[in-house]
Amino acid sequence: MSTTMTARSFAAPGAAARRRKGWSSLWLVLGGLYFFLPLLATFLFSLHGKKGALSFIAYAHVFRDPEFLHTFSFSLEMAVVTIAAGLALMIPTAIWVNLRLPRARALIEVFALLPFVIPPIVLVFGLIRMYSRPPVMLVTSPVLLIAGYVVLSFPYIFRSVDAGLRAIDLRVLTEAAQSLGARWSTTLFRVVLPNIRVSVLSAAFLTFSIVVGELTLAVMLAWPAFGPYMALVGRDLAYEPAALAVISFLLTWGSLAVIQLASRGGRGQGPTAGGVH
Amino acid sequence: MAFLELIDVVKHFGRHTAVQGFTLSAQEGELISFLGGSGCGKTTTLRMIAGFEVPTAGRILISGRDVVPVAPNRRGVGMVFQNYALFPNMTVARNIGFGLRVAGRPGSEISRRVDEMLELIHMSEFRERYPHQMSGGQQQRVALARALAIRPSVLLLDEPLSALDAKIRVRLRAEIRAIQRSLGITTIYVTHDQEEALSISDRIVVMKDGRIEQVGTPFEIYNRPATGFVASFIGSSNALRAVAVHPEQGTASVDGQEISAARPLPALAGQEVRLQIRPEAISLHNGVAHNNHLRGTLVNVVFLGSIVRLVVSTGGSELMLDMFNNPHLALPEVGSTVTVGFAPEACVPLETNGE
Amino acid sequence: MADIGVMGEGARSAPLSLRDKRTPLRTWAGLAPFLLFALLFMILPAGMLLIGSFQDPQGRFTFVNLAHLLRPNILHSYLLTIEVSLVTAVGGGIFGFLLAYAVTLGGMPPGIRGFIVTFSGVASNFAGVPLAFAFIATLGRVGLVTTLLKSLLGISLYDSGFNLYSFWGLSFTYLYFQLPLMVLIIAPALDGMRREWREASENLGARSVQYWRHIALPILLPSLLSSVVLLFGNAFGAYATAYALTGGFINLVPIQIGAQIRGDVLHDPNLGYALALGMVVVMTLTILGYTVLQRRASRFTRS
Repeated sequence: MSTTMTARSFAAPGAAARRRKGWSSLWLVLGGLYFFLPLLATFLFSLHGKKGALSFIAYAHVFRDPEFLHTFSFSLEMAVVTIAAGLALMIPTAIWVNLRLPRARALIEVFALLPFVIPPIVLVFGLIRMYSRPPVMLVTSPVLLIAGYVVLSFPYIFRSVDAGLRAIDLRVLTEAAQSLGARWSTTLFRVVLPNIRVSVLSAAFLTFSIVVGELTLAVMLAWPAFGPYMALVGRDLAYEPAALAVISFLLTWGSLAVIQLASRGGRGQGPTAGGVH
Repeated sequence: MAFLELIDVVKHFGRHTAVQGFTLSAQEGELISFLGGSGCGKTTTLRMIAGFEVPTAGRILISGRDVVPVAPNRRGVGMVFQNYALFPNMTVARNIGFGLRVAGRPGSEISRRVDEMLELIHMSEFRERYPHQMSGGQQQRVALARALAIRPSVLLLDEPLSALDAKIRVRLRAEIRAIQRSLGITTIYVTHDQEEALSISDRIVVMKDGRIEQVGTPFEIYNRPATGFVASFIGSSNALRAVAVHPEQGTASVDGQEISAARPLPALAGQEVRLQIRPEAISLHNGVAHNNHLRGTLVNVVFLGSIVRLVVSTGGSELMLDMFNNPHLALPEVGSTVTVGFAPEACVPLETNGE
Repeated sequence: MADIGVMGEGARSAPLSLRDKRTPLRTWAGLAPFLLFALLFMILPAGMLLIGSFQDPQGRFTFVNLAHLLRPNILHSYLLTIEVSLVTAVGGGIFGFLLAYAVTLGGMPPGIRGFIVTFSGVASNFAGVPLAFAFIATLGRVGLVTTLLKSLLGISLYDSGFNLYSFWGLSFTYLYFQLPLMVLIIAPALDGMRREWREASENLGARSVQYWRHIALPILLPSLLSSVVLLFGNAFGAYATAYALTGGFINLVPIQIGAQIRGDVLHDPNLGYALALGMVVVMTLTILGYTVLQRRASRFTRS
């Protein structure tokens, strides 16, 4: 009897529960204020571009700015390449760890913590020091930026893909595929990947939301990316930055919403917490 | 005067009625089981006694005092939960002593009481263990000791054994009963397991859809079920299809052979009725005097260990009958014609609307 | 040596079966691409900083750089960074916990919980430049809330000592990603709090305060602490938000390092490396603390 009734009765009985509900409502309202006031204020602020009237002129300015298009498409490109490179690197690694080398899991997990131990500002410092002098001059090549982004996103990609692999019975699936005569590549592309597509998608969009507005690496390696562009606009203009903030928020929201929707549809993981600040 | 009384207790959850018109009085030292399937209202009733649910209507009295307005932490009612609910951050001793500690009792008294309780459940050597270091059965014994440590006026057990293995279940229920008897504590025991209820209780309350179907001793519940639901819910039984002949006299015909029940049938003459007969109440006709006889064909013999179950077909119905196994048992051949007999009292008419 | 050739052949048609025996070395080779990448773009660069912080400009071994970390202005930036991280970790920890409590155990409708968790996922990723802009538009000198408070209530935030570009303003902004991160990592721990524990404690006569003191808090404490430690690290490494908000005029360690990268403001590159090393050390301690506490937190759930 318990399940349905007690779940409902949880809110019902006694004064203690009412008190609990009262406090909860208070925290929710305060939390709501803290989270939505800045969003609302930013949005309203962004509409003040024209004196005396609300307008979307700040947005028009942003979208008409060739620099916006230029930097945004650059960051978009970087994001796509990062996602491709990160997945190409991490999916085989995760499969290998799950299938052949469970002993290496601990090691990989330590690596997954390293980007947290080495903050972006330190990472880029090290990259510059190492690759700005012979034998390997990479500092002017986008390869270094992308490599840095892969490092930043790698904990998220690994955790997401790994969770997806653990949710399916990888060993049985691959053995079944091989007993039916499938080759390595067939097994990977026709059996394993379709089964972890939600995790892969979630990893991809998380990486996207990290890379597109990223500032630290882009600014230090002097790339005309979206993050540095926003920072620059913020220095010189008043209303356009607010418009950019709204656009960014919608982008983040959009990419995480896609993950949410996808993970509701199939098995796999929701978005992982934390980003690069 | 009854020690624990529930008077016309009603509980609604929104539009759903969980418990309806529940009235019961328990004597001091009695162990009463609430028995029923899931959703029958047994746990809700228990939780109302504990104070975790507030009745929509009705009164709950403990030694004459209405406890409905009393908060759960002032009721002095001990409760044991289905999944033990031991505090994982405390040792066995701290768990058992918790009730006394929050009541601000002196340490020496707590320690003495904890020792006493540990002895009661034969777990003195587990004093400093943590819950996650013990088996389910051990955890539940500690939970029992914790509930008893505060010397509650009433002990409530909410399906305490349902998470345990079959073997431990049987052993622990005997232990619970022994402890309950030795302390003489009034106890309500919620279970969906009829065997458990029959073996442990002074009285059983059979519930269905939030209502009491029958209250009685295990003997009464089993042998004289008040309703068709109770009859079919408790034990395994035959539901014999028959046609009423003289309903008021309880006579009916089974495939042309007339039998009689000890009470009137809930049908008109010529209508179909169902008669419930327990397998162990039927015997092979071997000279024992019975009022009711049925002839049929032996279609199967099932060996169940201590019991041998015979299946006899009367043409339209099949009838199971149980016999005790013994090495000299001589059974008729499958396919042969046999006569079975049973007393009218064993023959209980089932409600037609019900199952 | 002889089996190198066999190795190369096998790799082309490597079957996935577990049963065939292969040398451990070959199995490890499957991780080679990843390990090589990690070595080249994570370990070695960090290692270069490590080495650099023990070298003088001529490349000779020295402890001078580490000693220079104790210079007042550098020490100050470490202390300030730790302060910001501590304040936002504790603040975000407390309010994030309360919010998570409200949506998990507070008897709120389940829809609210789903919304808050999803929103937290977004907000914890909404950081850096846009976050700074949002707070400037809200609480900056001409921000909407600032002007509204002035025109409607006559309260002048900036005259009464508030400044978005100061320590407290920065901390208040950091909370925007700290708080939701706390919600995301503490909600599972709160879900693990079984209702029967509260009921059992009530049943044994405990008041709500006693339940929290003796049961709920001790059970949650390792999770709470480990979450706060994680939040600390999250704020400690943050660069973009601070940079965009204050234009680099707040003396945080990441800002210092950034300035050093863009132009040798410390006039000593090796001191910059030591600065970065200090950061890695703090972060390593943070992660170690987090791991140890997490292990403690799972102690009760292990059966």
